[in-house]
Amino acid sequence: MKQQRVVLIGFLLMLFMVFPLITVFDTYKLIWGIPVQAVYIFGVWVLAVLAIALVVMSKKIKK
Amino acid sequence: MNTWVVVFGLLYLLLLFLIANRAQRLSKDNKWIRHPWLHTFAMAVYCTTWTYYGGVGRASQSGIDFLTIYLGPTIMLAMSYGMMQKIFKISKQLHIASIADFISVRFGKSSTLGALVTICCIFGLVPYIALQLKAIVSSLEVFNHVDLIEEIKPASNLNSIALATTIVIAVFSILYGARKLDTSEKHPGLMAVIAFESIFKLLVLVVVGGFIIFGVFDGLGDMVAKVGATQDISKLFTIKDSSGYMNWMTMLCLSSFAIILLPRQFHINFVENDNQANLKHSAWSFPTYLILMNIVVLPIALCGMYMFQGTEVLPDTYVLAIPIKLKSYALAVFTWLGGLSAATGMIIMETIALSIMVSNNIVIPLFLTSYTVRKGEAQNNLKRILLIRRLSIIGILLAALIFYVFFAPRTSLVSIGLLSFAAVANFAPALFAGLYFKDANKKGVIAGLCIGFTVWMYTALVPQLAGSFLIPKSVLDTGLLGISFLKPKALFGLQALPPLAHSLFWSLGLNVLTLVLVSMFTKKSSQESYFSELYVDNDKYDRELNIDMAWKGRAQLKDLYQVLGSFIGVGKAEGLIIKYAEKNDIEIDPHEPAHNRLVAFTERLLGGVIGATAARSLIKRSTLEEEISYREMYAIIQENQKVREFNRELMKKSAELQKASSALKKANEELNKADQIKNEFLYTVTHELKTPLTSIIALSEIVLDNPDLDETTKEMYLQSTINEANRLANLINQVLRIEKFEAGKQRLNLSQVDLRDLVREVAQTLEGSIQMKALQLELQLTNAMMLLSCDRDLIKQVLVNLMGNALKYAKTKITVHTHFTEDEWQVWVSDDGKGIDAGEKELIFDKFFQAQNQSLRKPEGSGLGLAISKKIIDLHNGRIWADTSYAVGAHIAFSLPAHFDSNDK
Repeated sequence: MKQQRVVLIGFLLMLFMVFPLITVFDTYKLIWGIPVQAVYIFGVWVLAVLAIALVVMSKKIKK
Repeated sequence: MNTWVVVFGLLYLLLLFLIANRAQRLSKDNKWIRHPWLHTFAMAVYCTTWTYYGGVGRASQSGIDFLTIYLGPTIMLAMSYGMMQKIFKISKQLHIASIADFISVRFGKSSTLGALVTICCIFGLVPYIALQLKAIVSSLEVFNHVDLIEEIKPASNLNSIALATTIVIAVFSILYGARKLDTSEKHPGLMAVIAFESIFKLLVLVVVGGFIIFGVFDGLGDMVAKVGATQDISKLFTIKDSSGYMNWMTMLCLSSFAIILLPRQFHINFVENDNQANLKHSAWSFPTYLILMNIVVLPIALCGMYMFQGTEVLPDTYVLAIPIKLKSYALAVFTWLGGLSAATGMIIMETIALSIMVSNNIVIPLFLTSYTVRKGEAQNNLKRILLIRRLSIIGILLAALIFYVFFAPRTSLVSIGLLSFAAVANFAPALFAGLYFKDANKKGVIAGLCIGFTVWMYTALVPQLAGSFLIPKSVLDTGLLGISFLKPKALFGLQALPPLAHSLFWSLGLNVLTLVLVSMFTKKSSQESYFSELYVDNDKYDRELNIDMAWKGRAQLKDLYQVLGSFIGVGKAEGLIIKYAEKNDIEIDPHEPAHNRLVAFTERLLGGVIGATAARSLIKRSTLEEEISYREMYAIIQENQKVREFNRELMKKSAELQKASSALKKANEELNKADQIKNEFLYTVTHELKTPLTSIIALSEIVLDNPDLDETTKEMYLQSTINEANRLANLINQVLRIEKFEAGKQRLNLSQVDLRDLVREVAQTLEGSIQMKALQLELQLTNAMMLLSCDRDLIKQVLVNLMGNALKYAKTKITVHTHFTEDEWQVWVSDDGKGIDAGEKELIFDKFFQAQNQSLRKPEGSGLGLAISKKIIDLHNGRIWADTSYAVGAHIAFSLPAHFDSNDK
């Protein structure tokens, strides 16, 4: 169960980082003074890592 | 300045030796050595000077596409979560020492395949090592131009610095990476140093980034605004305007493969790592490291573009040039040391991993074919093998140095880094097919790898080296031998793809296609069948791999002792083999051919010393091995399957037995407890019976022995005798009653009763006693009738028991309160006595509770009253409980259903 969840998160991260979803924010606009594409990439990346950490470290997920 | 930097560099290298030396002395079970974060930081050797210097260079030229190199591993570590565990398990089962071992063992321990993978790695990775040397030397050169930073030109004495660095790294790698012979042996010193270097380079890069964001600029927004005002940075933050989506996807793909396939990453994850849990931890901790490392790269790149706009300063040197330009020399020196750590970590790990591959898959097999291993010369043989490994380290570093001198000045960090990634990506089809495709065979993998790697060399390496003395530049424009169809950057006329994607498309595509086609039309050997079963269906095998191996030969035990003893000593070899046989219940008969599991065990041990393929070859020769037919191999696999089924069945049975045993144990404990309680109860009852009996006997004897007693005294004694007899009868009645309840013989005699009448009757019965104790009885009864169907006598008995208890413990007052809630009547009996402990509110209804606590307090009754009350209430489908939430007194209540039907029982 844990393994499947981690794989799913990896798959979703890949989906968000490849064509065509990566093109959604592929324009030079600023958000809080920072380019939106950088915010998108780092944002999704951090969220994915947090999700992986939560799943891997969770002890309650039963097989 | 330069001299000081070199001195600091030497001091830093000295520090590495000290750390390695200290860690080497620690026990392998030391918590720091086994800490998951140590593994994570060791994995961060992935971040080389390519990240440290090249990432900034790439970011300032091609924008955010450098992030793909770090996003790829994050995606792969998550998506291959299960695959990593599988590779780890197989590596430990088979004493795998390198990626070459892993692939060659899967395909029948093919020495050809092992050598091929190793050669590919040398071609792919030696340039990468050379580029690390270039980074060390080039970064040092930046310091020579502190005042005139715009005009950096290579100095002539820098080759000597590269040579000195190479020598120091060679000494370090030999001391801490090739000290012992067993390649599956762990190197805590080495791991500690690599982890330290990863922490150091991360800290420095984050400090430099912070210094730039908040020291040079006023935050990220200010930086983007200022840099954006002087130049167009929009293309840096959009993929379509910089490198394009095709490059983005290609780099993601390459870096995803690299995190598993690079020899140094494989070595850290599956050879040095001895704890499977570390892989799970690194699935999130390593990406965290990568995020921290990369979050500052773009700001450094933007700052470099801002400060060095219109100059000749190389973007690869921005990290170092910025502190120098700002005259922060201390920070500059630390930054250079950070770069040194990134370079040395990579060189050390990659060299050691490659040296194991070179020695195990090329040199030792060659050595064993041309040299007869002398039996009884274990020490000399060991020394020879160790010398080969150390010479391999020196050879690889020397090759990197030569590449650096002749080719490195022409190439950039990023281009060579990607070149290496593309090279190792060619192992991906072999690895994935090996793990998931049973029909893949050695011929297919060798053919695929040969074609894929040749195409890689032609489409990726040749363009990099074109224009050097080796390859004329015209090849790029006109193609090989002037055939335009063979242009390296437009192979077979394909021009639509960018160079990197073009190379990956042809090399990986042809590799996969060849592997599949050749595997489809050729047969695999019996050995391959065996290992395909083991790799693909590995979840069926345990970690110890106690199964039959595919071996048929005429070797006896003494032959195994001798072949293994040639390297570790005959005595030690004999001890290990016998111990293994005893542990696995394998019969040892010196006159019979050795058991195939003992042969396999010997081969695995040998594999740790001389590599899997060399061990295979040596065992084959020394044990007069015969070819195994498919039928025999099939039989072995079937047998293993049967053993596995049997083991699984045994484990299941064992688990069931264990479960039954624990249930039995529990039942036994309960029986013992019940027996003990029964004994205590019997003791209490007999004690209670004995007390009135003793009184009755004593009083009767007094009356009998003293006929002259006056009538008043005699009457008093007789009255006491009657009282004691009544008490005795009452106790016997109670015991009989509770037994009747427990035997299920108690029947209910139901009638319509007004509960208020029962309360009043009991109150009247107890009135004398209440007055005698000067207590106050307060009845708070409902105005409405409390009509319900129940056994009048039994419920009255409950009221007597509860009010009788209250009478015993009350100090001034007893209250009986009744009310109706939902579908039940409730009666509360409260007093203002010492109350009931919260922990005992359930226990007081236990028929043995008072008996069990005889030693703690002196009861004023048999202790059966509440137990009987509970039985009666249960029989009426009601509830009885104690409420311990009150501060003062005991509060016991019972409820009875308003509509009770005897058929319910």
